Amino acid sequence: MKKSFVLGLLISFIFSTNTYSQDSLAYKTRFQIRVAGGVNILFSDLNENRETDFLIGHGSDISVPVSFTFTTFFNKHWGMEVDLKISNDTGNDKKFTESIIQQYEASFFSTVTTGITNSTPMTGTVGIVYRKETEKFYFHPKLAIGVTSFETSWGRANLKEKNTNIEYELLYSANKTVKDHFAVLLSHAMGYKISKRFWVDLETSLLMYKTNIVYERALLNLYTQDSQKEIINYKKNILEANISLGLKYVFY
Amino acid sequence: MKRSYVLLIVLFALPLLDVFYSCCNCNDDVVDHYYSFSDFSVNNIDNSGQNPLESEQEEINKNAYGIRLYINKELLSNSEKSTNNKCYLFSSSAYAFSCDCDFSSYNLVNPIQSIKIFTLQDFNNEKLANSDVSEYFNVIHTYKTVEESIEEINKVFNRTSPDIFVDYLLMNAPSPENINHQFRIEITLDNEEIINLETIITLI
Repeated sequence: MKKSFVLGLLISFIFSTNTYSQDSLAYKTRFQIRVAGGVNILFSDLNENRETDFLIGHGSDISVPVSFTFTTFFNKHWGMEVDLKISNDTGNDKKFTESIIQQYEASFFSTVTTGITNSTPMTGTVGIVYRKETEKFYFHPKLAIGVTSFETSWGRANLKEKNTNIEYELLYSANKTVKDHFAVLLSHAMGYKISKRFWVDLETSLLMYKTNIVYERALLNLYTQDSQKEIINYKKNILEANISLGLKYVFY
Repeated sequence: MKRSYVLLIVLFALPLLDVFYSCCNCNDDVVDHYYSFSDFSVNNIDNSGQNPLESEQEEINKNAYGIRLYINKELLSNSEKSTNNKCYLFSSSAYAFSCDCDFSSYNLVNPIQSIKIFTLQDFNNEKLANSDVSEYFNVIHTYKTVEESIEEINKVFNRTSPDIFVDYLLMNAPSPENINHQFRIEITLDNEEIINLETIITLI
């Protein structure tokens, strides 16, 4: 009985619409915090169809990030927003290993290791937001700049040539372990005020950045010390789209 | 107020001084151990696969052949205690920062001076029977020469598993017409004692 009473009270609190008069709270919020979950889609990805694709912690075409946003408005229409998005996309140790083994299995036995730590890619942005509100709805277009970071780890394989005494060391290394990229974000959120304090919205955004990752592949004959090197470039213009559903809590 | 500060400083300073001015006394704990080589033996290895395997086969792929040298070591009974009073600081105390006492040291009696591998049959046009073919062999993984491996063999001593082995891989294949081979491994110790070991194999 008590539980159902409390639950009923909570629901009525969240969904009460009769506690304020018409137009009285539009443009009145000073601070807003938002938690959202969504889907990230890479329109231009980082794949080069090479084994090093699996060493980059941001290679999947689709990922599921969560974001935390803080917004403050300094006048009726304009405000500032800080956003942090954390993704589940990481490098793939297993796929890198399989790729190397498959590539060399005709002539070599391979023992593969990587430095993939599964650190989560993150995007942090700061920008300006414009608000257009009615009693029930709101529209927040935004423009922001920030940094997107993801891991670029090393990969190593010991190759023992079949039917010989020769061993090779294969090493993949990037010019930096964690890559930070300057990014520009365009987004728009459309929401509904389900209560005085709680709002829900749907946000779509486009994140644009340029990568400058360079991997070096070095194959070293451990007996003769002869080395072959190859450069694998990941210099691309990346476009990511994100659709998220968010819950806001507002302060007046 | 001032007196309490002085008292605090004295209370903190004394233990700190004690720590700074202290050292270890390792008198009772250090023992010098002596060990020597007790036995050597060799086996042929087949390195065709991912890891080298000792082979009882009469034939091995000439590009994947190696010799495994087993080295047995034993502790001698004339271990003795020695003084090791390492004072890094000035006076004795129980609160030293660091106490690097060498509780045990292991000293090798009669280390290896040289290891050489000879071919007892003609190997190729350059290396005929009884030639030194050590230069054709390298240590597995590191590809150190036979001579370079001696330092590591003399240095390493593990009390719980004192016996070790070294794999020497043949990196130069013999001439195709020479398939039956016999190698002699000559180990010379510091006291000029020479140990000879032989192995026979058909390299195809």
